[in-house]
Amino acid sequence: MTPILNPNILVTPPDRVRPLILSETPIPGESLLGFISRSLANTAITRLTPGLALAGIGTFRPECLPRGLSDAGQITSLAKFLNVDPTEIRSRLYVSNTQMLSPGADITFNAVAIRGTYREIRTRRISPRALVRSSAHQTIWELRPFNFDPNTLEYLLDTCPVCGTRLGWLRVSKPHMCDRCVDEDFRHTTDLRDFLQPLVEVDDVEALTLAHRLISHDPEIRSSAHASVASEWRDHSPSELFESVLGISFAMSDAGPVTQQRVKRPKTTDLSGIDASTLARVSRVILEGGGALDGLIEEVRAERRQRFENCSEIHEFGQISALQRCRSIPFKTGLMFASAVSRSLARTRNRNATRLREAAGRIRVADAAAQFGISRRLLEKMLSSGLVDYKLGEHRGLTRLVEPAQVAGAIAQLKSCVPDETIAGTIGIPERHLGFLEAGGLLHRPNEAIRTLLPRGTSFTRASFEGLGALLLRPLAPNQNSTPLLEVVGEVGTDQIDWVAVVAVVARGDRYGVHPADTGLRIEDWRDNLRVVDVDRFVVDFAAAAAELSPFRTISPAEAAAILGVPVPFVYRAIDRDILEKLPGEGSRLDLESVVRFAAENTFGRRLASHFGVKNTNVLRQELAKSNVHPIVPGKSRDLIYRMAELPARLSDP
Amino acid sequence: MLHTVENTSASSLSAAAIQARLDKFDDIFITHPRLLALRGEMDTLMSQTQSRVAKNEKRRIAAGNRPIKPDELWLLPVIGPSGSGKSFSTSSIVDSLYADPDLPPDEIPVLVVTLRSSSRSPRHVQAQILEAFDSPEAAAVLRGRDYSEAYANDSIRKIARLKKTHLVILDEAHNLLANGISLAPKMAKAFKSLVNDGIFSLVLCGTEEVMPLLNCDGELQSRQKEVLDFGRFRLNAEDLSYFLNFVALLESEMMTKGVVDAPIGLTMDADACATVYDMSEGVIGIVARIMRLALERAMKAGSTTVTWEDVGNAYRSWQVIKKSLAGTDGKSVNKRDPFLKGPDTRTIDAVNRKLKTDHQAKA
Repeated sequence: MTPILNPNILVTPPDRVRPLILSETPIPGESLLGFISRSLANTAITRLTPGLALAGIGTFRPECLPRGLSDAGQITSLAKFLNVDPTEIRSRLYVSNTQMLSPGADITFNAVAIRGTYREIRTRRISPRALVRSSAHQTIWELRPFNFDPNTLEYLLDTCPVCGTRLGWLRVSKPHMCDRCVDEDFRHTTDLRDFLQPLVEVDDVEALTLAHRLISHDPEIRSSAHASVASEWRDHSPSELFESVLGISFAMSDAGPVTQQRVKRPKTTDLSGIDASTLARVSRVILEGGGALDGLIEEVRAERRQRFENCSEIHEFGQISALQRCRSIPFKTGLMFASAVSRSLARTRNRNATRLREAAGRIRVADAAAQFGISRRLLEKMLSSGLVDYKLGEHRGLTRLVEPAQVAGAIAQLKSCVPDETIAGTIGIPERHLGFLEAGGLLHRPNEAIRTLLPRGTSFTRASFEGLGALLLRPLAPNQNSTPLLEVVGEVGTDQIDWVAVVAVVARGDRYGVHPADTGLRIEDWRDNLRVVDVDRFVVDFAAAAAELSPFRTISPAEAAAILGVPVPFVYRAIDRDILEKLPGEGSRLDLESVVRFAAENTFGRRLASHFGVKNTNVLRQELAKSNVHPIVPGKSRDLIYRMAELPARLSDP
Repeated sequence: MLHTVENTSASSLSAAAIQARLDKFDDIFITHPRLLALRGEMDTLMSQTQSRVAKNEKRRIAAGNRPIKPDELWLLPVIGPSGSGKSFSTSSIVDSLYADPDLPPDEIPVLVVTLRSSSRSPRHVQAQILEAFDSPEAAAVLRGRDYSEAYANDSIRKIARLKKTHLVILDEAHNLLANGISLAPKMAKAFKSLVNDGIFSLVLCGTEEVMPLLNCDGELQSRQKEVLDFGRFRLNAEDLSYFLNFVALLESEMMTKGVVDAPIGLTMDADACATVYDMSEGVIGIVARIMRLALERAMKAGSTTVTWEDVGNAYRSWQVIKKSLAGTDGKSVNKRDPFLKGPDTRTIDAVNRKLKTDHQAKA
């Protein structure tokens, strides 16, 4: 074990550990923590952690001890402290089972490999009736799947009926006392033996306690339990039998949504355990053998609520059918269940079902996905979006049947979409400007149903994209005088060309095109090859298009900072404070017009300070405050923004 | 007045020889005049405690091991100055008790706990009692988070019942008040809890400094036995007789066991008797300690006999030790050196009267 040392507790070195004067004798079947707690209850030690520190073990969580203690020196020192032989300690440890004798069985419990997740770690569970007979906290009570004591058949108690808290292992107490209910002298006040619990009402006690007996602390009980199972189950090891009983019981208890992958195990917080009647029912199958397994399968099948004709195994049998595929269930058990399920299905098989489906010209969803090479998930999306409709089998089965032609049509529609980024990259304009072309009727979005299937959700139809490409690359009449576009754009007179406006002008007009000899051009080549017939007309059209573009024209925070004359972080802080408004869906980009307007209406402390030669903006703030002029952002923000209108006349001048 | 004895050996003694003679000196056992009284009191206390504990346990079993209000036990104060033989006497009683071959090895009928001056709370006292039992839980009591005096007492009681411990001797009890008299009520309550809870009876050994602790709680006083005075011997005939008999016996034993080769003459005349009395202020433990110092001093000088000069020098060394033990105020240090200025006249008178009475009695 790697102890987690508590710095507040002094741990006695193992070679200096002294034995307790008042020691207890371990009782067969008693848990390690129960024995330690019972021994310490005679002393003035009130908590388990400092008690273990005196035994040379430093740990924050005593409940980790049975699984975590592996150091031989620490085992010896603990045994010396408790005045017992070290074998008594070792026999009570849950040794990690590295060889995994059975799938998932990672600890050894009374010489039987079981799953470590079955062990309840934090909560102390007790049987009041059993504690009347013996003062030992039994190891078997630590297994979460069981909620009753196999000897008294009493349901286990895990919560104090007086204080309502979970019984635990942090404080020292006798097993029959609540560790939380104490008086002012830390004497325990609640005797849990006064709160007897109801008894399990199952007649078949032999079957009910089979799993308990398979992992009993007594080797004789273990071997007799193993010998009592039916002959076909006898080649299972005790560990495999135990896991089979529990796995089948869990599968039968699971009323939730079915999965085909695995049998659900209880969660760490779930102490409800397996229903006693289910446990007895499953154990009886293993004890009797023969046709008992088939009987159980038929019973389970009959009990299924959502049963339909011609439906799948998982609907027909529930989690029981998952046993054959569950890797944590012993392989032999899985095979037995697989053959039992097959036998049951053979009994009720409807040989006409397949023929009826084929006659309708429809195929199953899974078959359609395989046929068209698409994922089942995508096909399910097609069904839910209404692109593809389905019908249930003629015999009211749950199997959905689809028309292959519809699926093919939906796939074709899906393939006819081009993502925004592809179009923007091909034409060479910002992605955000595509909306301008869409508004101008040059690009079209696919219908809503198709859009739900697209991973990014924003695409245009391939037809519209190719139509736009055709407009950009249409040939001019032969021998027509023209000027290359790249020469003409210089006439526009702006530093930065809005190429989307150029695209709009070219696509709408009829005096543009490529040289008739230039054939086989790609869309991305339009800029280099396009020629303008009437340059003056182009300038006029471009100005008009650029004016229409203004709602789509955005600027980055860095550009906004340049316009405002402030550092870039200033702009980001202003965006965070909602002083400057971001454009929705545009990341951090800002509307150019609003930035220009903001610059015209406001001024900034640093600009004012540098203008008036004041080094410290705080001085400026104080001076302006005297004139009852305050910044937009109150408080001590370092970004001083003043409304130009509020400034005194002499200051608003800059 | 002083009679010097000739040095019989001029050669120096080896360290082993010195140690051998010192060991012989340490082996001298002279029954304290009040040892019998102490033994009697402790025997009585033991039998009374056994009887009452048995009764309490019967009641506890009848109540199904539930907490009961047990009948109270007792406290026996043994008060005397440092060196008066309290610890020595109690140790000898306990040793003789443990020497009983019929006593099972795992039983501790009487437990001796030497209290440390660092004890500042009942918790420390409980931890020291548990430590004396060699119980590992002492550390938990001392540093535990959920400490409760009653809970710790429960644990002590369980161990005491297992070990059949009925008497706990708290030696050097005055150390509890070494950090101030303000701790007296708290400690008194702790002792009261131990005897009231019927755990065991207490024998409290200490100097007179422990008296505030005994007097500050009325309920504890009601549990007290009569104080056993291990104080200095007075100058009355009876006390003086005990004292001088002890001194004579000590000298005789030193000769018999071969610690010294010639007698010193500690009781050879009235002057010598009075000097020894003044030297020790009537405390017999001090006589033994000064004699050991004198013996060591003489043997280091190569002599196998002790002279009065050695005794005088040892007395002055003792005064220095005593002064350092008592602090710098020198409150408990003799102002009059009987070796330089001679014994006190009142002491000489008392000794003379005693010798005269003895002589008359003999006649």
